[in-house]
Amino acid sequence: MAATTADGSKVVGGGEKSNVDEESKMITLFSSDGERFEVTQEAAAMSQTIHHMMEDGCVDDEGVHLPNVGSSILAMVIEYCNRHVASPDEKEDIRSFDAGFVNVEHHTLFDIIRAANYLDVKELMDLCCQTVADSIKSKSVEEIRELFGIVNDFTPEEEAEIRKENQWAFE
Amino acid sequence: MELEVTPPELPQDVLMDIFALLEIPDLVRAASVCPSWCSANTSLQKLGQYKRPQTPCLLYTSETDGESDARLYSLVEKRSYKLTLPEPPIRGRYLIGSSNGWLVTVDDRSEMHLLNPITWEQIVLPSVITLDPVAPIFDETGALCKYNFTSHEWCPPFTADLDELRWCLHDRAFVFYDTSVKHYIVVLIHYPRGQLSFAWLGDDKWTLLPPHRNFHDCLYKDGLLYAVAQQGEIFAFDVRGPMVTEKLIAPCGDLLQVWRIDEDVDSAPYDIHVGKVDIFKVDTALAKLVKINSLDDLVLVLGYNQSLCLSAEEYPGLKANHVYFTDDHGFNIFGHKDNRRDIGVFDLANNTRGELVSPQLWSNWPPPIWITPAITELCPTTVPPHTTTVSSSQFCNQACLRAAYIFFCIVCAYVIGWGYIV
Repeated sequence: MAATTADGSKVVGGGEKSNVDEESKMITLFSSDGERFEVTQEAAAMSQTIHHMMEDGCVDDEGVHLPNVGSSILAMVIEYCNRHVASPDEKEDIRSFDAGFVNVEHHTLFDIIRAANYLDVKELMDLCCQTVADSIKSKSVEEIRELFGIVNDFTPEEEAEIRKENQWAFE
Repeated sequence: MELEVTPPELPQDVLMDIFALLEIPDLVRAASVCPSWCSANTSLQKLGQYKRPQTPCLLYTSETDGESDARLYSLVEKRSYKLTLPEPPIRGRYLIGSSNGWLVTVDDRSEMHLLNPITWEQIVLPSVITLDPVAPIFDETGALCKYNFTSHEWCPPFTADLDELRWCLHDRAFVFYDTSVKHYIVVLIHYPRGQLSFAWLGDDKWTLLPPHRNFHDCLYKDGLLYAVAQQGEIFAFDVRGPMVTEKLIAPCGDLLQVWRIDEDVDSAPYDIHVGKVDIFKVDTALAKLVKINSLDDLVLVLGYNQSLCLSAEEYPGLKANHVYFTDDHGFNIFGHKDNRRDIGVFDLANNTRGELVSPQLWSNWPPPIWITPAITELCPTTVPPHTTTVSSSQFCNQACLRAAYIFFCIVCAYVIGWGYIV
């Protein structure tokens, strides 16, 4: 739930109040395509990358530029962090939220993984890696390639060698 | 117009994190998807970062397969994989143990091997003639032709053919990894009367343990070999030095003792049919047994394999408070090759047993055995092996979570008509 403020920046808040609480300090993040996001410092600190920057005093008044993360993906990562910071103890709710969160197309999931990797958000990485692993389970090699849109660029000799070594797993 | 774009690849370290979550069959397939995924798996293995616990599988053979073929039934995927194994043919071997991904087998010359059915690695163990009750008999050409076997001190030794000795001598075997000396040890329980001998990998002979008898099961933890005898007595030995020393058992978490009780069903002689499972916690301080009625979220995997006590949370393919069992009664297994095997899943909450898979997939001989797949090299040429394969790491995990569960299993057969506990 994002509201556009007068100056065009998006406020993606996770708290119950619609106004920014004076005590929860905000930090501005800029996506690669120049969109601006206001986030609580607490939520932003879920990213170890940003957390270290804040601690080292590297964040100025302008905010943090994230040249590797596009706006749509950054919005999603922020939504994740806000949700986890808002009610960390409500395990059932969080589990339900997480399940819905990763229920996306695989290329979007990969984009989230890349962003979470760059931003170093461990919980989100763990969730996404487990999701990808679960997608791989019990699938044949061809099914995995199709699911993730991966081109088989083995040479025929390489492929034959691999199949020979672990033939039992391919039947 | 939407452009079809091949998604850029995930970084290698991320692929490694994903692959570290997969069990072996899925990992093998993932590594075959494309060169970049293959490379990630290679790195994962080389750096020793693949520590995923594996769900035990049932290893069995089938009459419709070849003599060197075996099958692995996966409890996770509910399907079987076919493996073609190295010589000598698996259907001609006795399977006397399964630990940490290794089968312990006895061939038709009564010699023992370690065999990893996934990696095909095979290791010859010290010759059977180095076991205490065995002496070789040579023919006029100097070739080994028979064995002398001393079954009891008061009986004269008898002569066994090369393939016959294994019926009289071998009972069960285990493979353990000692993290302090970073070495593998093989432990053999054998006749007469359940003696215990051991050999570190690389030894050229077996060492007989002093003089206790009637051992039934054993386990290795924190540098000590624990062995349980037929009536439930537990001994601990330090077998790392030049002399074996016996230790007092210090409380080191929970010890469980399990009794599998045969029920009387209309069946062939010596046909075992587990009808009840009783589990006791061993109070070493007070030297008594306390019956427990539930394993909560734990799962037991029992049989001729090394007994396993696992957390159902880590193994989604297994049901909590259940016992997955195969036969572990040596007389039944080796004495009656055509007998039906007692294999199934016991629900402790309802005290009921169920089929593992129906219809029966396996041939009765060699008897099916649980195995935990492993792809760690036993004898790598450069890097020391890692203690990743299940049992030892499971005990470490349990110790972190609660107490370490050390587990023993004893077969207790109520034979109706005889009316006593054997």
